[in-house]
Amino acid sequence: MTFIRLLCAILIVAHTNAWPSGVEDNMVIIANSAVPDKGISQSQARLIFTKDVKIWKNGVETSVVTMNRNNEMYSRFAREVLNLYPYQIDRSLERKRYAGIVHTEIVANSQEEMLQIVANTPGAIGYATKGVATNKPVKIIEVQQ
Amino acid sequence: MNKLRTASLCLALFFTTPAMADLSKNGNVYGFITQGYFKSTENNFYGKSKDGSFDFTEVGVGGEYTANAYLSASGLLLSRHAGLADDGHVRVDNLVFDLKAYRGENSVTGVRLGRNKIPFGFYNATRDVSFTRPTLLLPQSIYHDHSRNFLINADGLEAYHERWGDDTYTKFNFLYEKTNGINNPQTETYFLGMNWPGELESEYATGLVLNHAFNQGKTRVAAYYGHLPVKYKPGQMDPMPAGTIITDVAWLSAQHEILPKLTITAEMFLPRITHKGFGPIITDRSTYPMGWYVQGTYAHTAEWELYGRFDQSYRDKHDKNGELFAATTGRPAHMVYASDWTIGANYYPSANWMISAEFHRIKGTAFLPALDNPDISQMREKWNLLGLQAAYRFR
Repeated sequence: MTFIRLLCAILIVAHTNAWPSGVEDNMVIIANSAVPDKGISQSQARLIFTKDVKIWKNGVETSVVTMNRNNEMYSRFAREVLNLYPYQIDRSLERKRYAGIVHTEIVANSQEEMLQIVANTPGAIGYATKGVATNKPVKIIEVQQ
Repeated sequence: MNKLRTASLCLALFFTTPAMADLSKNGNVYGFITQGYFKSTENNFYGKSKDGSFDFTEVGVGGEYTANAYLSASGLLLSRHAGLADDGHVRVDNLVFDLKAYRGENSVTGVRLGRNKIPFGFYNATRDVSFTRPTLLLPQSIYHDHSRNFLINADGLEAYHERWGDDTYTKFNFLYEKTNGINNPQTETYFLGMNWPGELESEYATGLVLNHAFNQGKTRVAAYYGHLPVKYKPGQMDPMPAGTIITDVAWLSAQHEILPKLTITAEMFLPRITHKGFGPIITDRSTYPMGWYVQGTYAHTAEWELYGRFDQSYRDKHDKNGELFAATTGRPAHMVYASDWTIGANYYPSANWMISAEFHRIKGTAFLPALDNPDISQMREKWNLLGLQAAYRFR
């Protein structure tokens, strides 16, 4: 019985991707397929996600899609892709928000919802794990160091 | 008040358009609550801190809504209790209608109308929101409490032009607005030495702001210039004549990431306050207060942030040691300067909580809130201050 319980636990953990599975687990930036950029620098990514840069080169407004602050995905994205801690990004965004500079963010409750919103919103930019984002109707944007 | 009622009605009508159904995608409601505790070895700061004071609470609830690609609105209701200097009444901190009039290839130009926050320095526009302050208290040499009332928000327009390059971001602002918070005992005492029977009234002030981020976003600089004219309207049997006070202020800010996770910030505040027409009570004169600070912040982990700062303020840069002040007024010299060494930490146990602790070693009493320290003979030049703070936010 103990062995079966252990086997079930292993299968559940593997199914929920709780074990890191290499590159597939890396966080990537995803964007609506109409967004003109293929690659951006890390500092450009920071300017976009803190809503300093507001418009893509094709004139479409950027729409930042993000997870709830408590979601581990947000924390991982901040550190691994932008090389910032969440409180640093939040401080930058809230210095605009509480000063009356509006930049309505769209909040997704799951990676699936994130993909759906990004795929259907012109100008949208967000993040997901590479494994989840691959072969989906969104563009993966390279971050050039 | 009538203008505010009209603006609030506009906001209500704005929110009740058919687009209300899309509120969850086009709008947000957010807020915070902050509670502080202060303990000082001498002098009182935010209440009777010599005995330990919990008289520091900030509560804010705000909302923002984007109606379409051109129009959005935002507002914040705030309650702030800070010793005897702020009684916690609910006020409209800002109420802004934003029109993005023109989009270029790499730029946006527009105008914000309503009650705008005054955008000098890096932190003034959100100084009452703890999660936007890098440290528990903002440097008191610049973001001082004793004359903060008229530096918070102003009614009028703010035009903006923002542009960005590959790794740069630049923003220009032009302000034409009347500052609020000018007619109250604290502000009158700051400008005229005491609370006189008449009223202070602000006229339209102009301001220019420049913000620029470059060097792959590692360096940010900002400059602000403001011209703020204020008139005094004498009351009945008022010995104080109808003079004017003109404040011209330059403000310079810089921030640089010198190592990953280690950021240095420095700001300098250079006002000129000119009194005219108040003779013989106050002779025509110009005064030059001054303040500056240098701060290091280290983002140690995802939970801990550490910082240290040196902060210097002078009520008059031509009388830095206060000897002239003491000779002419008979009051202690230490009332016109303050040097403040600070160390502190922010702890983020979860995304919505922040706990902060900060210790100050201070020489001088230039930034003490007057209402919390009515007896000058009790003031002491050298004092230490401990601050503790817990804050919660929601979005």
